[in-house]
Amino acid sequence: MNPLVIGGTGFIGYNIVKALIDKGFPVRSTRRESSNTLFLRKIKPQLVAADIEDRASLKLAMKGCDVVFMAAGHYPRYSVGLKTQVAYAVRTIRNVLEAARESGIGRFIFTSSVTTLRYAGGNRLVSEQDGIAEPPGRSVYFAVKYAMEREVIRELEDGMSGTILNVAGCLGPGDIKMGTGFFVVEMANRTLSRYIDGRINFVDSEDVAEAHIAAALHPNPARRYIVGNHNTTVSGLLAMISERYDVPMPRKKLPLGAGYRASLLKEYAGYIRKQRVSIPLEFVDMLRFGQHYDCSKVRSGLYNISTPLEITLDKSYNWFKKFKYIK
Amino acid sequence: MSGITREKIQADVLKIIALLGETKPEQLKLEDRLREDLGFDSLKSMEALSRITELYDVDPELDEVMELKTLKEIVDYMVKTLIK
Repeated sequence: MNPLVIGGTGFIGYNIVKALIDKGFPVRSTRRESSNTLFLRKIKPQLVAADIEDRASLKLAMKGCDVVFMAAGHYPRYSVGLKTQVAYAVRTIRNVLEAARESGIGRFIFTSSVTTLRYAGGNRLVSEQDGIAEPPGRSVYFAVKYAMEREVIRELEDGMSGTILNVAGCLGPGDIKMGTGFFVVEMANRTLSRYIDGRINFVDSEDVAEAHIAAALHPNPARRYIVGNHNTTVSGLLAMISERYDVPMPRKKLPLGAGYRASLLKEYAGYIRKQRVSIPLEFVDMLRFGQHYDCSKVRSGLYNISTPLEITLDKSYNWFKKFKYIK
Repeated sequence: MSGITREKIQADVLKIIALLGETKPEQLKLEDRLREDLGFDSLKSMEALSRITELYDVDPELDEVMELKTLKEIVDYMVKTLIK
């Protein structure tokens, strides 16, 4: 396998690059001019400049590669301007897909999110069979993810060989931009005073990387796998962090409705001030429409994801501590 | 690395910080702290350090560079690494 990882400077992409290098594959990773490459340079993939806005740069990056791991894709910095954000997401994923098709890429592995899966409501476990559906509410993040995945499905139905991995809340080493790991850092630094509860599923970032590689190597993978592990709640996670690292629980639990309204106002204020808010609206949307997942298909078909949540938390905590996110 | 002077490193550091901070190099002071004085969040701070070290092809010890807070500390780190 001669893999290209698009988005190797991000959380999941970094873990894929690292796992590929550990297995001895000659890994190439894209980076943008503005990318933080501090962590990626340490593990020494071949770095090539490419941008999802620039199809020619993607084709150059794909030259000589037979597998593309697409772990980038538009992530709206602010949950504002749904139509514009979706249009941009579609345009850029089309650039990647068309570059892959024109380059004769043999396998396209697309990192998507569980947020694209049909919102079933109730308490039942959502599985791959539920498929994806127009996202509920007016979540910009959900809409962007859904639109990108729809484009990938279209390409796969048109004959491209590939797999979609719907990844749950990822925790572990390499959370450079502090995504889901925000819970660990804010709790450990005792700066999380309030929280919103909701259903969530967590998975170890290194397990996610292994599932991606297994999907690339599988002779005949399924079209879709839910890459998750632990069905829990935010309060369950926070209680575990509190006990494990001897830090207090946040003082206040906000009701979902009040939390959403407060977050919506802060998001718009942050957008105007060009400052990303500490709890972005997409996090709240993930809890508003949080679901639990049946993750058996990935375990039986691709990779036996089984890292205990306590171990994943320790890996995440130690990584953030080492790199001074935790004071 | 030959031909590299402290002045050149300092000028490059100020240029990159000014670019990311949307200001002019002459408006920056070496005592400025990335977060408190220039308003950089952790992501922008890392992007700055990434660009500076990449410009000089320096492979930094990550736990060391994460400790750098002021522009002077960044310049000193680069000088220490490049001018032995």
